[in-house]
Amino acid sequence: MKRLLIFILAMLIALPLSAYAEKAKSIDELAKLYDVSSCKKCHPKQYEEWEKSYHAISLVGSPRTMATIASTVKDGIMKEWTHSGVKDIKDIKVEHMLSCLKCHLPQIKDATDEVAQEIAKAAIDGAAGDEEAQKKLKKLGINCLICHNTKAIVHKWTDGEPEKYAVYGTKEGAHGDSKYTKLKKSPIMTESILCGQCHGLGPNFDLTEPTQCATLYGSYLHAYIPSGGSKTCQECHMKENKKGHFMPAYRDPDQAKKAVNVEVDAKSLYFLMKAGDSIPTAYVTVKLSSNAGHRIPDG
Amino acid sequence: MDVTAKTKDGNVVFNTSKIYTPQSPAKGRGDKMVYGPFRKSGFLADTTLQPGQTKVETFEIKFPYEDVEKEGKKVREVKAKEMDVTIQLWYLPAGGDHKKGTVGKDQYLFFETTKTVSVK
Repeated sequence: MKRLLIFILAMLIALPLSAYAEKAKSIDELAKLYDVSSCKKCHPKQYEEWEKSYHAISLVGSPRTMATIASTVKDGIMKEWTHSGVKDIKDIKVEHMLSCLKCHLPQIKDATDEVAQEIAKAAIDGAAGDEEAQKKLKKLGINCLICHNTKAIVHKWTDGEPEKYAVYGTKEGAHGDSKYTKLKKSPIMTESILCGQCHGLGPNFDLTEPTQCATLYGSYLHAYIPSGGSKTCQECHMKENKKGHFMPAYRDPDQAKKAVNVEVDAKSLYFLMKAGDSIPTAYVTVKLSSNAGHRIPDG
Repeated sequence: MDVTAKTKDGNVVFNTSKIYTPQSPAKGRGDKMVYGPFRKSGFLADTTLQPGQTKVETFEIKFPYEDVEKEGKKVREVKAKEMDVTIQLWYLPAGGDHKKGTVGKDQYLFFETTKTVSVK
């Protein structure tokens, strides 16, 4: 009996702490685990801005995102990725869905394979027009906790892991929430690298099957900065436009106008190609100047 | 970007498009551009608008004319001495044919202007 107790104790010590973390077993459970409704009480402006953003519905998007997740499952994971081991939705594991969910739902790390399967099915059904499936997907998204906790620290051997019940921002102190009681300073909250974690460098080489979605951060680093650019993502997409946590991009006319300056000049003349062959010709010159911090368009 | 020239009576005499887009192959290999993040890796080409840079495009548009013979001489008659040239810059998040898409959903109009050009 004593030996058995020692064995059990040894096993408990040997197991990583993460093994004890409770994982969500359904979309509803994961939504509950990452519930941010209490944020609205003290931060109504930020909450309402965020609610209207694509971040809030990051599994559905325009709804092009939902259709892309659906085709990734149907045409990629279950068909073209012949070594994925997935023939059916029930074979899907979290690691397969990371192709999309690494960025579109980082909280998937706290969910079981069943949730990955539920999301895969809902994306397929939703893309086929099932409104209930779409509603289900809209329960999850890139919310306050993703940027202000999960993704608030990049260099974890330098800065440590994000603390579970802390809200990361630009200050330290107490936070008036019954669950998230601490306010911690994120070293990158106002830096482009925060956004760069998901807005892409190119192929995601960290995945077993690298996918390529956004490439904006790569363009920011290798084209915008060398061109003399000095603004951060947050400056253009949150501050200067005064649109805060809505963080608009191409679908916002003000953001679009600011991103590309177009000048058009036109003149006409009789062009003489050869003697007696005078051709009435208009010359239209279009100058497209990009003021954005990345390639336009991305894709 | 679409450039369309029309005479005052609505006849389209010039119509062309320039496409600015990154072009990715499947799995970082080959020479075929593909769609879909689960297929794409790397770039084959990149004709997008680059930060801090200006692209200059010039379009030469001929006014409609016809060569006729008058009193034994070849005479060039300009059929329309005025044209409206419309320039539109569209953003298509998923590519495709923007003439079939829905504005504000599949495509966003970044810029539009019309310039009137004429010859004497």
